Amino acid sequence: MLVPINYSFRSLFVRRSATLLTVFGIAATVAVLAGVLALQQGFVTLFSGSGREDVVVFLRPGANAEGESQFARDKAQIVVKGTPEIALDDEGRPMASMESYLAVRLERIGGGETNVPVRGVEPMSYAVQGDHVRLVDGRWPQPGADEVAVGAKLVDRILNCRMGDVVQLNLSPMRVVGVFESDGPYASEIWGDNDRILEALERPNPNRVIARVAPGTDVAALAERLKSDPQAPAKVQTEREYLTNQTGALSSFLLFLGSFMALVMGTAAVFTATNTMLSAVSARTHEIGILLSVGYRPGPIFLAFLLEALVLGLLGGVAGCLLVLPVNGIETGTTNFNTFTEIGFAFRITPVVLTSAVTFSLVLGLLGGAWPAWRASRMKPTEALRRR
Amino acid sequence: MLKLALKNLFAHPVRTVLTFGSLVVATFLVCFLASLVTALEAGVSGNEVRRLWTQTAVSLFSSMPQSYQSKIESLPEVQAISKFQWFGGYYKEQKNFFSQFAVDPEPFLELYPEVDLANDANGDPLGSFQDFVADRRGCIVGKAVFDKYAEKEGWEVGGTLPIIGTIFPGKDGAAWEFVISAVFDAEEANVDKNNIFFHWDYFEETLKDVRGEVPEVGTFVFEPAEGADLDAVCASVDALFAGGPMRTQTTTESEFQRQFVGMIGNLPRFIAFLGFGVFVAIVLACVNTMLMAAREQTHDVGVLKALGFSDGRVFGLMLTQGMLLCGVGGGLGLLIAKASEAGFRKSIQIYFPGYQIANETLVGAAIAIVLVGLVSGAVPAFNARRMSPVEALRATV
Repeated sequence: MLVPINYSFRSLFVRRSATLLTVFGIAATVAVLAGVLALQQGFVTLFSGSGREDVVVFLRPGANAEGESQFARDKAQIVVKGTPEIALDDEGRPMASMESYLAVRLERIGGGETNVPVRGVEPMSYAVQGDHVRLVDGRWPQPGADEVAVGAKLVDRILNCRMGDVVQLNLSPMRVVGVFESDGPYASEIWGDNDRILEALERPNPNRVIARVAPGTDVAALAERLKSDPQAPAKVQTEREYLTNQTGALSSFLLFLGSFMALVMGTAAVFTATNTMLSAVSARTHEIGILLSVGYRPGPIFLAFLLEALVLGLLGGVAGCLLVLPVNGIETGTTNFNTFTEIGFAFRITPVVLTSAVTFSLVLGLLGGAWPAWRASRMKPTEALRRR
Repeated sequence: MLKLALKNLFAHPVRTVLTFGSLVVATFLVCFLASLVTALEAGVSGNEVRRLWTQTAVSLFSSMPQSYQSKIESLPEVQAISKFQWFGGYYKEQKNFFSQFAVDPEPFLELYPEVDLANDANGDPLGSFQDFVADRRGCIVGKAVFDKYAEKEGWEVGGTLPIIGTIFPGKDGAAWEFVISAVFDAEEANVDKNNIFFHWDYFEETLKDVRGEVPEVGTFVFEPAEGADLDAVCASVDALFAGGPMRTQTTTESEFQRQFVGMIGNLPRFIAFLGFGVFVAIVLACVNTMLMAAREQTHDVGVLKALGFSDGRVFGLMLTQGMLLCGVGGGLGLLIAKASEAGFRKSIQIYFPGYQIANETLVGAAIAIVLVGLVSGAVPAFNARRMSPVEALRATV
């Protein structure tokens, strides 16, 4: 026969100050883990969640990021002309464009410098991106003009990035004529005309070619073919793959930090939970004696105390989740170690974060409760009854 | 009194050990996080260096034409000068990543007197800087990265070191081949022992051969003459290139490092916030245990008071228990943090090259522990002090 579930709940309530403090201890641990995970999730979803599967990125072989890649114009032309997989627009032109990329030092509003990605684009770039990049104010820069459009996340963070402002790139003043929004990292970039950007930043070559491919294209086969192309070899990835590859360093750092903290703080939380449960068991020695003498078997008593610990953990888990919930959606900016540029993104409390947090709290409760519960179930009824 | 406090603490040995354990762990974690923040800011507080760095004002990733060198040299205040270019390669696989720079060997060694020749386990020097200067393909390897790969990959002085260039691929994508001329070490934290430096001439020659390109310069490092006004020198260098093609920004090495850390953004703040969360959690855990212990001692407190112990002494007793627990637990945590320093420095050096538990961190953590001890001792101590002996004796736990 099982000990009534109520018994476990009520005993938590009776010792509410100890319960509360323990719950807070577990909650703090869970909140720290969930906070770091939310940051990692926000960062990763920004990149991998936004890349298009039907857009491919061509880089110089061996390069892992745009910053390292160079694509001479003549080679880029060969790639665009020689790749039948590239989709055509309504007027029959290949939907492909050359883009240049450089992390430029600009001043933050509020002081200090940071690295802002500046991208030189061609008019076809907008068509390639489709609705993944949307103009929310003004217009796109004119080809050949000293004009730029800025990502929406920069407007309030970087100096001179409001509509009508003039932002200085090396020696060239560029007028901000548009603001654009994107679900991906593009929203932290400045876009201008490719030729003008290359000239202003003294760059010899564009960095990549980007293209929309026809539906049903086998990108892996295309990548294999172009890898060893004698005329213009290129490294080909879908945009999603490319963006996912840009998250490795920061993402693994955050995961390392999160799991390390969870491990160490979790140990401390398990100790506290064990402590609380031990004290609960010892305070109720007499009661346990009664339970045993009225015929409850050690098994159910073990379960009753384990359940109490699990509830303690769960309460801590829920409280921890509630503690971090307000950070959901908070915009923050951190340097992406892969590109060394500052990327604006938001904390995301995803289902993954919540499930990991609650699971973690249950594990804490379980680990903390097992031994005290076992001790409770091992008591001898006569001795336990004799205790006051 | 101390004896009584100890006896009380060990009335429930398991529980005391557990509390003690969480204190050790938490103190260690607070130290660890604080040191991460310190590591991110390392070099910022480092000793001021007189060396000046000229870089483009445009981007960390763009370079200047080599012709800038003779213009900088033409300024009377400028002495030794070396070109620097970030090579950005890796050894065999991408995960074997460390920094490599092309430099002008002789001026480089002159500019960086703190770069010393490293010794092996027997105290013999590992190679020589003369060999480095003499051998065009020679390179000097930081002690940290050398030690790491000497075990794993058998790197040795005189051996060949193939590096695959991501920005500057070798001929047909092959690796660049360097020769390890010497291993360097440095006392100061501002020289990264994970770096490799090699000959500018070899870099330029190979690049001309592979791409028909003359390499540009990432940074000019130079030393101004004794007594020169640093700000004035910086301003006159930057004035040379105000008209382009690349605007420059000349700063002291320390100032550049400060700017660089500023670019990392709010990661340090985020870690500091986590550290604070940990601290709150410890305080709660300690207060919790002390309260639980105190409640079980209610009867004992009654006995003490009935025996004639003053309120003050009972208060002191409870406070001593809290302080003892925190002092010993926290102290052990500090010891572990310090003892594990070397191990962590090795495993996280990619992200935090300057990881080190500073004395300030230890002192700060010690003060925090004492505070926790005071709080967790004082709360139950006040309760015990207020209690009337009759009530306390009657109390059932």
